[in-house]
Amino acid sequence: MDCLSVQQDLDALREGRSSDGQADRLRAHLAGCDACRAFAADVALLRERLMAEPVPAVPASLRRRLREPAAPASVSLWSRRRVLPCAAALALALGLAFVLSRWRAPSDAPFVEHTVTLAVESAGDLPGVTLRLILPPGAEVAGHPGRAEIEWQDDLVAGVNRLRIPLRLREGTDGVLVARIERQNKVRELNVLLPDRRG
Amino acid sequence: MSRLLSFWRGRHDADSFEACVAPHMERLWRLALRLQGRPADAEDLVQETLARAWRHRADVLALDAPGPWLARVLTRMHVDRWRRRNALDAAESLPDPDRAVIEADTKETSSLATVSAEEVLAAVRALPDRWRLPVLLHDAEGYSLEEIGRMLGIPVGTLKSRLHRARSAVRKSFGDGT
Ligand SMILES: [Zn+2]
Repeated sequence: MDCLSVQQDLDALREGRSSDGQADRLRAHLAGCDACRAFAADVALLRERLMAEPVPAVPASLRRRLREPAAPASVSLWSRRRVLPCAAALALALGLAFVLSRWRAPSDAPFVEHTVTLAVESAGDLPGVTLRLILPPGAEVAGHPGRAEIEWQDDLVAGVNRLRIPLRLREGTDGVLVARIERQNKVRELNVLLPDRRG
Repeated sequence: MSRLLSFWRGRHDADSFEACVAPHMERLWRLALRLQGRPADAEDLVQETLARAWRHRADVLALDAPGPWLARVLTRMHVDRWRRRNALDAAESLPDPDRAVIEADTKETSSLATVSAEEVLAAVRALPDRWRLPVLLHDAEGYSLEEIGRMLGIPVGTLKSRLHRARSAVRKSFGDGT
């Protein structure tokens, strides 16, 4: 057996899913291969660390939500944050739209991180919506350096649809982030002023 | 199932829903925190999952084990909501790592034995989503590759190679891997 197959089949061995012959071959390889033994030891350690990671208690708001599952989501979700209504920007099929923003500025960084949250309220399920982000100079979506536009397909569900956009902004950047939502020749645009320190 | 189902049906919808979902809340919360990182984002993700589960409560209440269903909805929401994989992955300037040649990890000594748990967890958090998700769902949450394949809509073979790459990347973050 080659090392890659052995390293990829460790889970089957641990879970007892290997055939007898395969398990014997895996063990024989492990006995004679330092690299695969070290890999297996690290996988076991990694799993141990992940499973032992402490998890904070479930927030009371979620427990409340579970007790009142029929309550409108917008009530419990929006009340925590400042909301900027953009009713004029979105009136056709999508109903009302809101723009929220959160600001986080690490010190001494050439880029500052900035998360913009767009929220679109839709009266019903809207499959196959095209979303396009058009970024001003000096702004990029985290993980997509240098791109001035990003477009993808998404489905909107009935109720509030939240879209979180992790941005990286060059210090001093100001401009407008345009989020364009298109479906069946209907186009709606949300304009978000950057940087935006509300909320 | 039938006895359970008639029991559920005999109660008010909301009570049934709470009783059915409550035992899974801690696991959902932990998964959401791991996927999202920030508690506020994790909370939103669980809220959305609960809202969707409530809309599909007839299906949820009919399940013997709603845990995997809820985890699947939560994971898919995380993936679909704005990271609609193909569109965003295609927008990346780097070549698709899954298409690169996959090699065995050749480092002959443990990389993780001498680093703290927090450093290991930070290395996992730093992985790109396509590698982080299989590690979190498999190594942290204990789902099988088949279950994860259904959650993410990815073939098991692809998941196996992503899991290998993810584990290898975590090791390499503490050494050169040779
Ligand atoms: Zn080997």
